[in-house]
Amino acid sequence: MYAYDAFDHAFVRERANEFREQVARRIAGELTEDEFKPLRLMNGLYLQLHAYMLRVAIPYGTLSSRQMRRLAHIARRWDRGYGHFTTRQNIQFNWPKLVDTPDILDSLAEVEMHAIQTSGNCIRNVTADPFSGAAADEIEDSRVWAEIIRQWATLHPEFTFLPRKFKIAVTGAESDRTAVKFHDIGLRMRRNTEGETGFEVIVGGGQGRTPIVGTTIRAFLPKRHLLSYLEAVLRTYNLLGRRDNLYKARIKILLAETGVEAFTEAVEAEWERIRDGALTLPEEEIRRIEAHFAPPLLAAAGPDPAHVAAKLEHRDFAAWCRSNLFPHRVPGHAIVTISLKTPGGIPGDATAAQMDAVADLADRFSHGEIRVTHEQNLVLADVRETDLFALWQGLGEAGLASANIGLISDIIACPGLDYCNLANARAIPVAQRISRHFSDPALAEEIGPITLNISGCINACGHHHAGHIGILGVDKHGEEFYQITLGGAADDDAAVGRILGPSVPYDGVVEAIDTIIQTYRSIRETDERFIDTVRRTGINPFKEALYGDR
Amino acid sequence: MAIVKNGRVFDDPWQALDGRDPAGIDPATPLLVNLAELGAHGGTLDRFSRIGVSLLPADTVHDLGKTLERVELVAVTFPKFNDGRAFSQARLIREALGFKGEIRATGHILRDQLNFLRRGGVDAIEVPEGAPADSWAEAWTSEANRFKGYYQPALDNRKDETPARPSGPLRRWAKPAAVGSLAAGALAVHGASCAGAWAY
Repeated sequence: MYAYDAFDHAFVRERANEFREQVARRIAGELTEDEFKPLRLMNGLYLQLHAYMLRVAIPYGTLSSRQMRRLAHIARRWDRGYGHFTTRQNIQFNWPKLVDTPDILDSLAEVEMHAIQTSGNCIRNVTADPFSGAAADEIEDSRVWAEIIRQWATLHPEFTFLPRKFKIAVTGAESDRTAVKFHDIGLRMRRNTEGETGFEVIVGGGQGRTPIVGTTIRAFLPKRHLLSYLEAVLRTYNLLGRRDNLYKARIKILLAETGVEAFTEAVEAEWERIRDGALTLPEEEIRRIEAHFAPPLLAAAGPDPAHVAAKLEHRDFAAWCRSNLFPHRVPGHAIVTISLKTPGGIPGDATAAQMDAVADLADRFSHGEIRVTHEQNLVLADVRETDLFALWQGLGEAGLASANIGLISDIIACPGLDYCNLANARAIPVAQRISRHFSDPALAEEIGPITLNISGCINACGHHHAGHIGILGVDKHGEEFYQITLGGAADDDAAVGRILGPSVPYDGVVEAIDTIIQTYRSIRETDERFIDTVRRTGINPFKEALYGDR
Repeated sequence: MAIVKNGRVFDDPWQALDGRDPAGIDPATPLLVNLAELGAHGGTLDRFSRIGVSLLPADTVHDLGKTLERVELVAVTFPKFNDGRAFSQARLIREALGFKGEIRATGHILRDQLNFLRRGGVDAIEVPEGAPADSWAEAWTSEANRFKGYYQPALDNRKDETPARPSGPLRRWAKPAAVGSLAAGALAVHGASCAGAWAY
């Protein structure tokens, strides 16, 4: 993974010092809260319902075991002993004190981490494929490009006061695991007819109150031009994006209002002017970054009889292997997803002890490296098949062996009204109730692959639009109600879910989801996934089952 | 009103036309007009020896066109500190239009933005009403020295500097020493000429 050199170390320390001064000025009253707000936000510090919240950047979701241990330390020393992994592959601490935040940033800087641009109207943490470097279906490691973009975007002098936040995702594999079409810019690795790799540039995707699947504005961009092209898109957006209405300020609205053709023309004209300028990436610069992501040397191996025996002997282990493993590019290895979705637990939360345990297991079994997924789980990307059983046992001891990746209890949920001052309704207890209801592993497996996403308000941090089942919390005369959508998807066939009907009360959510699942089980064809049934039948059978008798 | 240019304090000699008839104004006055006034008065502005143009955030930079050849100053505006359009305007004025004169940031700006402004091609700021000019001059210099370098090329790489590590676009050791030496001991030089400080 990327390792800081003297330049990066100095930069992050200088930034932490700057924030220390800003906090001091705020405490001394030299900065108003209005003026302090954008400064603290660009260092990841939010003011939530009950306390400050610090969001720490995990660039493209890649962590070393040492960094994970430091996050555990921060959780213990300055928070309440846990942290929350987010859909942008970051981690949030929910209870830091303002005066402690400079010390936390110093502590992070020691392990090559920071909270730069995890919030604010700037370019946010760039996300990438959590299986990068390991997936069997990969073209190239997307993290190389996410790191290049991270560096270019860091304290960019022109794009730090944009109309609104700006999210970029990069994927380098055949299958999209980054929700690339739901980003302000999605970059998808493609090969042109000459066999050269480059990027398809997708712009204007997003969720929030106006969910839109992104539009391709360039089918193939040579890699050396990546930064100049991004600069042209961002400059066009910064100048023309709306600033009169917070809810119409994202690039997706600009794209919709100017039209794809006119927008693309403006971008291409600006790019034509700057494309061969200072931002052209020299080959050696790309090599320098690439070298950091050289994959570990793994010896291919045939099937392990002991592994097969262990699966026969331990049904729980076999179930875990079925749901939590993904094919590795090297035979005899697996990509392991560690579920942070214990039925009845809080999606994405991990205690300090669990973080330490994952760090230890990463050292023992996966070259000391950990990834965070946008579904709020963790990944050990390079595990030998012979080590899987010991890893599973170790995870079990830490309470992290849930065998539910991609199943109904693998729920994405935002913090909701339990923490967030934007929320209309709670999201966490809804997730807890649903995951408890479907906690029988045999039932979950029988239901099969499905995504269920919950947001506590229209800002859609829980990605409800993109869930096969989406649940959105709304406020009805002071009471929590939940609107249900079906048919959303974040993968290659990205789609926005359709609203099923009137929202249901808090106490009716589990029953409604149960009805939807039962309907699916009764109408599905053999081996048909939930989303495929919804696509085949439309939402009507579900609507009738849920509202028919009303 | 005071301005800070490249870290030094000056009295602002410029007068905004502000809807007045230019015929009644002494042609020796450095005159600041907006885009509408520039269009409306055209030739009558020829008798002024020094012309500046002030832009609003919604103005299109390319509308300045050829006018820039006889313009000494372009003022960009921040109605509020978080309206960042002026950052892109300044960048385009320097890079796309090749303007070498003064670019001045006016309106609501924070000292925490000085680095971004300087790196985006702005070389002067209008000191906010009621604020001590000296402390803004000091801030200009101290902010310029805060970071030893940056990750992206911008407009702060002066001709007299050789980057210590000139490898590609992601690393620039943009030593801001030139800014620092200008400012040290040179605070509050009111009324001195402030032309030609841009060493782009």
